[in-house]
Amino acid sequence: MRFLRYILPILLLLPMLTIRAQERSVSIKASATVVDKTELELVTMKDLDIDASTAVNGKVYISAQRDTKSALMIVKGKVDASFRVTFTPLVEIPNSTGKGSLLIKYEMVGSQTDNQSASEPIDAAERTLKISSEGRYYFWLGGQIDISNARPGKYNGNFTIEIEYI
Amino acid sequence: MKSTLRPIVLLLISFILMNGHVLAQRISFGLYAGEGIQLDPMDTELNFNAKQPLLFTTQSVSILKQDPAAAIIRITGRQDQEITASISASPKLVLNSTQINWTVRFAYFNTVVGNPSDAEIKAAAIELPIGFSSVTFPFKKNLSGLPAPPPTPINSNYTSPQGTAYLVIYGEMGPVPSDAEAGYYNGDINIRVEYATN
Repeated sequence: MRFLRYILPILLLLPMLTIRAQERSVSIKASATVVDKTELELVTMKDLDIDASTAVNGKVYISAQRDTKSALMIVKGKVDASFRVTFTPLVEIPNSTGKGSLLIKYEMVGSQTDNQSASEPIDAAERTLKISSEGRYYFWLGGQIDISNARPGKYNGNFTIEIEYI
Repeated sequence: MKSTLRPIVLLLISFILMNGHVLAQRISFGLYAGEGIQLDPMDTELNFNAKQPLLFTTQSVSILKQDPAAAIIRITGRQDQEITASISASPKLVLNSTQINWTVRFAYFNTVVGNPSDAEIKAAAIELPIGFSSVTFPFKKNLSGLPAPPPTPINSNYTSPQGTAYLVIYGEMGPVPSDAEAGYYNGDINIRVEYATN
């Protein structure tokens, strides 16, 4: 009887012991990487170098794919991301100190690597490109510059290019 | 009097010692509780960037059941049993102090014939309505529409045939807050499967 007095509390505790059900569970991750829109950046590394002394019939031609005088721009962005590029192909730049103007017909080539000769032509129409696994894309800019209407003076113009993630 | 009090005091002390260690338990007394269930994640991540590689602030993304980005979990176990699958998930996708709302959903596929492809599993999987986090279904649905025969009683000479079923995990996230920090947001999805006990 005395034994039962001690065994009783122990018996009451037994149901509290863990009984493991036969079940299986796994966990997987849910994830999303958010990108800052400002992560897409276009950096001008080298300007277009126009040398009027090389003009033939009032026109200077700089090959975007072969000429070292071409401009170089680098897109820095998210690895392997697709982006859209457009540019204005024809620009007239007025003489800021007097009469005359330059007419530039741009041509552009691009590549995922810093290899100008292996680049591909990019036309002015909307074009989809892909940033490299190093997060870079390279553009070289050249074109045909008509200086037949130019007069001595100073010419400063802009090349308009737009890039955006798709 | 003293001898009557002793077991009562002992009992009280026992309860005091247990204080803080009593946990809610889910106990299965199913007849087949000893038979193994195996869960194999065929995808270890529900990655919203697999649906939309570039995700900006204010945007939302939905991974649909049939999307390649939906995750698949394979379940194997006693073919003659019903199973209950439950899912729970982190309430938010989190990066540091920024949180993104999201909802996890799932579907089940128990009409396996042969070795179905991911696309076949996703196309045939039955969706649970939004808000449901648990479902019970037979391991292998009887395609004739008739109820399945009762399980063969356990005996030493009988080994139950193994069945396979699948869960498809998908969901929606967003919109990403306009001031959200750029980076990797994540949360957990926990899937639990057990034999149903009636």
